Amino acid sequence: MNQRDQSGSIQQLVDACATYWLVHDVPWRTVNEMRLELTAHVQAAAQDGKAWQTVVGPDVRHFAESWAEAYRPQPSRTRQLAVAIVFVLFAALLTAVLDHMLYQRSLSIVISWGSLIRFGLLLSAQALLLWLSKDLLRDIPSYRRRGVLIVAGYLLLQGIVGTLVRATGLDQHAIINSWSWLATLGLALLTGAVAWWVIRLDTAAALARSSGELF
Amino acid sequence: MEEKRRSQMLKGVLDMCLLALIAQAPCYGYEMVQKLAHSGLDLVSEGSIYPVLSRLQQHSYIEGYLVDSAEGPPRKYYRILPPGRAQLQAWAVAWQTVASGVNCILEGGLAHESA
Repeated sequence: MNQRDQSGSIQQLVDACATYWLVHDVPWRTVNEMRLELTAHVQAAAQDGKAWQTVVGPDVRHFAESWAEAYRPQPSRTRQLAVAIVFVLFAALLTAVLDHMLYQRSLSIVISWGSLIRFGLLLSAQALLLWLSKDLLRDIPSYRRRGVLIVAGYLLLQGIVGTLVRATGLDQHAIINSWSWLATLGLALLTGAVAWWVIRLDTAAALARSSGELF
Repeated sequence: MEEKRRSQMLKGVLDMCLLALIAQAPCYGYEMVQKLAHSGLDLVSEGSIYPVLSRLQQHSYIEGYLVDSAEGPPRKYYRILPPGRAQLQAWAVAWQTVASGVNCILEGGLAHESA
């Protein structure tokens, strides 16, 4: 590889890492320093006859992520708990809304063992789906897109789980209690409030990081 | 296999080694890699020092500053801060305890082997 090709590939490597860091919430001023540091290192390594893989390893994405992670604040216990609560509330809300609109088609619905099983299965299936797709979701920077994907996943699973549970006939029997539309509205407001609080926690953390960069 | 094991062991104490190097004199990333290699501590991926340096910086153990270089882009040097010196002392004590314990067990095992 001649010197021009080499500096071109170094530039490509540094640009790819910098883009990754910017997309993954590393403040721009920090990214500029990381970029300078990586360029200086790879150039010095090249002068010593080493390939850039010696610096970043065989997986550039893994390298960029491990460095970005060092600047990402660890989620607090409060946030983790709030996310878990939103997760459970949303599954309950969706179960109730689909009962109102699709399965029972009534403003007042009944809670049966079938709906509880459906809720439990949905929660487990969604937890599994989120765990399997966590890398994919992390690559999506926008809250809205992430949210749309998660809701789509919920709906798909609800459809599958709902059909399976209804096929067993548990929905029609073993009724436990009734549930009014006011309770569903209350559940929706509670879910929205906790979700809004989680987003506010994240925004406050991001603002604190940016002001730390500015001052 | 042995190289991988050595690299894993180094990974566990990399923060301490980097802090100790910076405590000796302010230095930049590539210089640290060279000093580690000079001591027989080769890293599989040299860039793995940067996330560690970033964490040390976030804990206020070290601070970074840019210095112009005639050989290329500005270099980011790191220097140790008072909390870093205190942490290094604590890590050194913990390391001595672990190392002497491991050595003791190893020596016993090797003596038993040769007997």
